[in-house]
Amino acid sequence: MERHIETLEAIRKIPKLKLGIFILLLISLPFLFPLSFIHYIILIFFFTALTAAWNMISGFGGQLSLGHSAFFAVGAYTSTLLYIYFGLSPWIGMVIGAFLALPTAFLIGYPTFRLRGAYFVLATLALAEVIRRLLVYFRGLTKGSVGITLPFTGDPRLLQFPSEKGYYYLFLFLALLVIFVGWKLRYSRMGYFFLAIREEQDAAEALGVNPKRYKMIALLISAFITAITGSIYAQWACYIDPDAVCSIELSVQIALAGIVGGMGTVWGPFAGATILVLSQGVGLTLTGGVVGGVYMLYGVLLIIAILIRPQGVIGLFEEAYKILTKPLSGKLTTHVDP
Amino acid sequence: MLILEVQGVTKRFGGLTALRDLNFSINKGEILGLIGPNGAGKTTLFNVIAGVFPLDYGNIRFNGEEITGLKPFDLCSRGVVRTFQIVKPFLNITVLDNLMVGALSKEKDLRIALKESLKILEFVGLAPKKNLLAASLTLEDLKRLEMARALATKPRLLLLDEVVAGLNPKETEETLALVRKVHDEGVTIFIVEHVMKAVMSISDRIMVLHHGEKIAEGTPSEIAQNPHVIEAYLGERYTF
Amino acid sequence: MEIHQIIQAVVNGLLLGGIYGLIAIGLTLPFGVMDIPNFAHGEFVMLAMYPTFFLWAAFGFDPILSVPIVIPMFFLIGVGLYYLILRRLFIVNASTPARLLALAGLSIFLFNFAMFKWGTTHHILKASYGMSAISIGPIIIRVPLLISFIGSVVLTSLVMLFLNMTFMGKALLATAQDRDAAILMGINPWRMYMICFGLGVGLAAGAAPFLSTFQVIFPTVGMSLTLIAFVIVIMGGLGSVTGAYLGGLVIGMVESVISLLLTPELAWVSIFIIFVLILLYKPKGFLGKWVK
Repeated sequence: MERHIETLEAIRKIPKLKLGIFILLLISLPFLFPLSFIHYIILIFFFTALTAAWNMISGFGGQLSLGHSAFFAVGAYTSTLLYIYFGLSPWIGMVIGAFLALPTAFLIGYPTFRLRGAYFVLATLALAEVIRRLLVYFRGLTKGSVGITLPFTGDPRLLQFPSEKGYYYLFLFLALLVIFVGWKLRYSRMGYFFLAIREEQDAAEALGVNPKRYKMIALLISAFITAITGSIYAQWACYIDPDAVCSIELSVQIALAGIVGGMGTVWGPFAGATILVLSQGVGLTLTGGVVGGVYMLYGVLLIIAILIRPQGVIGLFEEAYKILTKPLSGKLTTHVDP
Repeated sequence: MLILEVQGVTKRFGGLTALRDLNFSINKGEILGLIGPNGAGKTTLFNVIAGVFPLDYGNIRFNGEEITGLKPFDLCSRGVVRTFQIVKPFLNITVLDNLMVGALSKEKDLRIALKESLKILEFVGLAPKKNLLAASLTLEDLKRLEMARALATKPRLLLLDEVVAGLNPKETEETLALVRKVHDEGVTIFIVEHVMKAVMSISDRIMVLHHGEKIAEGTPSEIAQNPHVIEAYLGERYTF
Repeated sequence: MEIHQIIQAVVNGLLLGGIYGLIAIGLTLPFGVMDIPNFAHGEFVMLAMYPTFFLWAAFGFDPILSVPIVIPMFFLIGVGLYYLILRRLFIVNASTPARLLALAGLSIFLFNFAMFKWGTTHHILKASYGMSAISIGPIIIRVPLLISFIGSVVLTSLVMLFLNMTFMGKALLATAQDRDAAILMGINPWRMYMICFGLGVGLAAGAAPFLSTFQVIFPTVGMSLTLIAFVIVIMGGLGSVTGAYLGGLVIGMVESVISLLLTPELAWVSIFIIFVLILLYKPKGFLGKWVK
């Protein structure tokens, strides 16, 4: 069969060798570099997972979310509270939290996916704000703004590790897993439908594609994974509070990483996360850690990103990234990611 | 055998009654044309059948099953598919991928969907262009693509929305030939059209709408001589 | 729970709602006329509170005196931002979520700018009447709230006068209803958009002095205002001035009453629930476009 559709081709053409070498490289990093550096890499994996999950609804699903911290918080607090009050292992609490994120996501997806315009974005913003306030309100349970400090045991059965190395591999695995899920979503029957819905929703409907259903699927998967990442984060940072895990800052960081990296692509989230973490390091040094300094830059960056490439908000660096990562995303046919 | 039965359909937009107690049916395997002067309600009727507008009264049955109020994607799964007058291709993907979207809504296996899509591309004559981006096609090819995409969903009733609008006579002939070819494969066709010559030459039967009501129904030659039809289009002076 | 406590809450909510309504009007105009969801709207309210505060701190200016100062000032800022950002959004034909995102970027920039310039310490403006109140029977009406309400009524009336009586206002409405027809009438739609956005920002600023008489000033005070304003705007119907103002009153009362009956945080939750219900059952809002 000739090389036609990008989908089958991507399946056949996974550059297994290059990918394998890349992963081996990542696995070996903790042995080559000091812990302070490794900490940064963990942050990259962390944001990669978050951004790749966000990308499922905002990139593939075409529905921009600025409130993903809501799902993150649901995961973080559920597993933490279950652990603190019932001694339940976060491995299980993580799953429960993820399942709690589902109805939360459904609540805002269901009314807004029927509508066109900015309703979904607004709903995500409102959701994150509400959850943040609820977390503060139930301070008897959640210790409110004071936050919860988790006991550090280093016990892997409690989703903790004695050294950063353990966390490194956990986050690496998570990031690769989420990217894999993204890849599966993109290069599949559903991937075609997502594309069609984004390109021409009316035509897609006429051809048998139910836009609400697929958007909801993307949202639910996205929320589920984001919540899991939240739980894992809680076990790593050992401290959570509403303003940290349910903040607009977090939601914006994720969205910025996704947009800059390239929405609707498979490795875009990784590129975006890398840029985000690196720029945060650079930005902090530049502005000397002055309050608001880095974020002012983010704000301007966001505006510029939209003004220059707003259709679907393609990443600024997408061209460069495509050249750099060509072997990773499969042979580029005449298909252009919208 | 009746593939589509429309009964008592009424549709209002605010104070304006676009469709008034419409009754008609389409026989399985025929080509039914819908004509009427501007503002007659053709587009409204088309969109009501296609599931875009909800109707106010009446019901629609497809192969005996009630389909009133179903959304376009549900209609598609039952075998009712429409094309768009102003074509809506998925511009940034290839011709083949455009078809894949349609094929995949009925066929879950990617490889089988690919085979079917390729066959349809051959059938409509777009095979040489399968790897081109849809954005680079001519209007005639885009209309062809529109039809091919619809065919990929294995329709039993195909709703064509002004499929020759904007085409020159040669392109029109080629497109009509394709419609006939599709019809020969056993697809029932409901075509709304302004270009009189086109719809007259291709339809088995024609229905005429005026002010939201059916004023005539019959073979093309019957319609051409029907005084009500002539009056609707040309005004009273021309009836004889 | 005594009945007069509830009435008190309703009264307070109504008075506060006037300011909400004013802020919402500033949001609904650009949203309805040019499909610009100004996510930075609350930030303009916040920003205008600072010059109000400094004029009071340095010269003893009563906040009300600041109103005619900040409104033109921020009108010009709005016009400037139109040229800087909005025009480009139109040129590249950005989708509505993309526009919201761009304005979210502006919002982030603005409140971080405020943090950068003025720090995160709370500024408190103590107007001469800040603590006064008048009582009608058992009901206490705080003067700052009353003045804010009166201010909102005055400004809203001015806006409606402008829209319905002046040529420019009518031109604006015309552009909103049918852009092409307006162009044929010789109206420059871009000029209208510029004015509309300037007006929206100006109104946001206009609410600030009133707000400063009873609300603590800090950089992130704008964020929740923006969200509440969006809920009000969607509830009242995009582009409807009356809808925005009435919606503001309603939300003000809801927030106040629920705060009394339950707690303030739950008031927020109920507003969110209202939002979801509106999306489910009346996404076009209650009053639709351009009801006078």
